[in-house]
Amino acid sequence: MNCKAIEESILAGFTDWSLVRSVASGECLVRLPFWDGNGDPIDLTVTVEDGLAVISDNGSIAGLLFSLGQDHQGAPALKLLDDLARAHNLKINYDEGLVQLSISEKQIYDGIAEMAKVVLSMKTVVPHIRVFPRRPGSFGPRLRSKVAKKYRELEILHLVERSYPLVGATVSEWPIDFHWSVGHNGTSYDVNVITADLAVAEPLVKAQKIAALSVDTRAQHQSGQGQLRVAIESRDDNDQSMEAANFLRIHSDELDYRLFDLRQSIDEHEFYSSSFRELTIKFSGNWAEQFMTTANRG
Amino acid sequence: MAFNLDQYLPQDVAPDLDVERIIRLGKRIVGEFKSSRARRTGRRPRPVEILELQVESDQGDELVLRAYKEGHEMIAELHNGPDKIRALHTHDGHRNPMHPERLPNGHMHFPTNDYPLIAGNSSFAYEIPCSEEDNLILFIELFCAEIDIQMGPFQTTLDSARRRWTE
Repeated sequence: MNCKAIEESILAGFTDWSLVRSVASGECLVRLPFWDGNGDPIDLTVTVEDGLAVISDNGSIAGLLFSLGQDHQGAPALKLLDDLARAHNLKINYDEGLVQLSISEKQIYDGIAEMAKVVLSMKTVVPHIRVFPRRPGSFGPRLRSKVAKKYRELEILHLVERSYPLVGATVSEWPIDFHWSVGHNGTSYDVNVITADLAVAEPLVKAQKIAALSVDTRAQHQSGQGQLRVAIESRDDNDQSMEAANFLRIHSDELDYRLFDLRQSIDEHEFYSSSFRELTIKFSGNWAEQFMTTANRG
Repeated sequence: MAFNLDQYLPQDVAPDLDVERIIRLGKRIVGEFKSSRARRTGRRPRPVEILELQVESDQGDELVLRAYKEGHEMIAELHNGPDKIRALHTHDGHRNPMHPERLPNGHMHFPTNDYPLIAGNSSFAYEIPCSEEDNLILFIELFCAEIDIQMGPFQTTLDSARRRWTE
């Protein structure tokens, strides 16, 4: 095969792939002669604004970051995008989720080539440098399942968010087992529930971590934006379990959380009835009657 | 629902059996991680519309459903930990490995052992016409119907989101 034949083969491929079509008023879609790791085509859009051609990635980079859980601060892919944007003079439109390049109309070809480099780099590299999406671990999967089961019996499980990541002052994601928002008289606050199974492995370590969580997120709790509730189960025949429970009980006021020992019937009733009341108040005025009916049925 | 993937694969390519076990199980939406529409997200680019839902299988597999818009296109995906196990796209032009023809419509991606959905060089997909007219919620319902994910009580939340988003 000589160079001429190679050229013709490449040009045939490029002609086949490089499609330009109008997709909306004033917007052209340019299909690049490459495809991504799924075998899907890579598209750019071109619009003209104020005499400048604006070439956009069509949201594909933001979509890639969201899809692979790389859209949080500090993610390697986000750092890569920032570096590429700086190097190639791109603008990141955070509100619209677009990466854009503004260029004079005469330089559209150069602009598309420049944008193609960035999009191809991101599409190729990000799947290989990603940090796997990690949900923070719970302090007690067994107790969390138990609470979830009770919430399901009370028919409120579908109203709560599970495995909610709470942002702290220094730690980006603290593990919250159940989360919901409460609106009252025009104001609202978040309820964050942690379950801590102190009857099994490493109760003191769990207690220390909960104290750290509370300190790291206390700005939200002190400002009235959120309430932290810690539901525990401990064992009387285990010294460490009892020490951990006492530690959490003694420091609850100064660390701004409310402790519920689910082995105590008063605490258990208060824990579930407050959850039920807050989650169903918008559906029924007589929550207490409804709670007792549903609870008895469960 | 398309559970027999062999019909879309060449003879020497086999579906990922671990993935197909989950796809064949009953699944249901059990919670919502995040949703937003045209919300400022600080210094991180995000699609304008996103929904991230928690899905559980009958055997306790914890899965994540992510749906979002990319320009004029919509995408819904099911993730199992670090693996993407299904992805429904509305755009045309997908090319299956070893096949020069491109699919003219929306399509459902699925992984095989040699062609994963993340960090591969291509992947297989079968065609699904998508005519949801730009409505991400209807698109999620189509995705869930295709791979047997029950909405259950979460249908109420989706209906509410649909009303919010169409206002």
